[in-house]
Amino acid sequence: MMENEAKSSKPFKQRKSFVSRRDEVAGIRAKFPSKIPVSETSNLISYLVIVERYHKEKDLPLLDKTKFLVPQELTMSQFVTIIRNRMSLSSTQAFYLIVNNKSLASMSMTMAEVYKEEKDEDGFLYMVYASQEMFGL
Amino acid sequence: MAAFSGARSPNFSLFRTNLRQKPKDNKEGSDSDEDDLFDGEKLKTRLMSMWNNMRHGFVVPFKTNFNEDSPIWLLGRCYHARNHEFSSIHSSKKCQVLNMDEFQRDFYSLIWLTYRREIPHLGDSMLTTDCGWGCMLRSGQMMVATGLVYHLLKRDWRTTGRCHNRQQEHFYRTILKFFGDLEDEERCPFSLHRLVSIGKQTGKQAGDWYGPASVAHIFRLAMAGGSHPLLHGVNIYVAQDCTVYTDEVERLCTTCRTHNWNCSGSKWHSVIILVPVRLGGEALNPIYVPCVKMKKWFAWILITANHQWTCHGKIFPQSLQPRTMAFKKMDPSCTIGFYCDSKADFEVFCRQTSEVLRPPMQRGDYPMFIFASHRKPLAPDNAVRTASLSESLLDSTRLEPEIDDVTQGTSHRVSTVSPSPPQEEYVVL
Repeated sequence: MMENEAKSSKPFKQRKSFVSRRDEVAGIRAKFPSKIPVSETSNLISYLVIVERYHKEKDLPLLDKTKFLVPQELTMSQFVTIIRNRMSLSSTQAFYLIVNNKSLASMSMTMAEVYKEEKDEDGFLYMVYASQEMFGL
Repeated sequence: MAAFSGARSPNFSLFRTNLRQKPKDNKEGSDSDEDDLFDGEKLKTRLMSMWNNMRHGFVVPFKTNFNEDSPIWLLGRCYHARNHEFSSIHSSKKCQVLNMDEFQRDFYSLIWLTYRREIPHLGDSMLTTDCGWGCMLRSGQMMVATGLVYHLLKRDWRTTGRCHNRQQEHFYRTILKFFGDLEDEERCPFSLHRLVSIGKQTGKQAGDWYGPASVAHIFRLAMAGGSHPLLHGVNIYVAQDCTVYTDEVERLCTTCRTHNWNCSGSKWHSVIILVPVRLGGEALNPIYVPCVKMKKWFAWILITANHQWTCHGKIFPQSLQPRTMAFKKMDPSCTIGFYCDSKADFEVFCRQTSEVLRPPMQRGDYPMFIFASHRKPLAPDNAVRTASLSESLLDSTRLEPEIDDVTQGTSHRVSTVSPSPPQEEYVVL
């Protein structure tokens, strides 16, 4: 666990170079052609999504795994439920997925729709999760 | 420091008289008379009070400088220093614009609740103050207090300049008492003590910092347990995952909470809707500024738990004056509150709010929050199964080494024997 914590202090994007990330996407596409989008027009099956904890987040636990192969038709609502369950969060605990600094509040959106607008140049879709800030004073 | 202020009216002094009759452990620190100035204990209190004023930024006696050219929105009302008629961008309808005197009276009619010292012990703790940690709970109190004023006294209630009948005075005083710092479930259902004790169920202690979402849920539970007759016709709904489920609101508003008072199933009760949101990572994402500004020509309350939005302004528990704040300094974590009086009101709210929640000029769809008719019941069970199934799938079919191969050419790890660190594996959904 300690090792995990230390490893995860650096986001995936900083742990690996752009080339190695792009190659990883290409490699997985080659291994599982049926699962991965090959081109914009092809029959899209799954997306590579990286879900990491927001760097200032203190309240929510770390995810045991950060890489997901997500089917295109999965809605954000379902995806949030999966992540919530993986972290054993109660339904009332604040949990927000943020993509490119935008709040993913439209729960009926599918992964395909999010991927289309927000995917990174390397082929991954990056998301961070956070609760709400704690306020004093 | 008096807990209740901002209401600079005859009512307020009445209420203060009431407070003084309360037991000794509820003394009013700053209520000391001028004669007692050099009394040792009182002097200490004064110094402490001054220190807290400085430390927590109480008392901003300067006049707020509003831009005279732009309108000020306060909880759905539009005020303007110059123009008395102002056409909303989102609507062809002209909305009524009121002058700054009206703004003053509206603003000073808001109930102001803030930190106190020397209150009865909070739960099991030795704490007798919420200075330094209670801002969220106090902001939540102000938000719910505003909702209750709208519920019982309506939006046009003002503490000055209007005549009040006995019932209105009674309602107002009862609302203020709801928030008294006393361990009295019946009369003070939203007291700091009650909120802290409810917060304990979710692992919060007195002295902890509270987030806007946890505060929203604490108030939901406090309202659900509220037995005071004046609370029977009003509920609190908290949106989950930025979604207001309309069927849940309907169930909440048509279900009798207590079964011992006016239990008619068909009646639609009023509801305060709280929506915890996170509008960006570090700071408020500028795409939401047009939504936050909400050229609102409808009359619901829009307040954050962290700050109350007065268009370009906010109210901290610390400040007596409306303070202006740049949007870029606004915190992305907040809770937005709305009050819906009736079923028709709720329906209009759903329709009109949806229009202003979407940031303009965005390719994707990133509303502040959404409305949905119901939860998809299959999602949770299905999702858990898929997640655990896929993991076993990953192990049994040895997908993991294959993926490892893929990354190996470029990753720094050379060893093929050691298992890959957990975060290098993929979860197949």
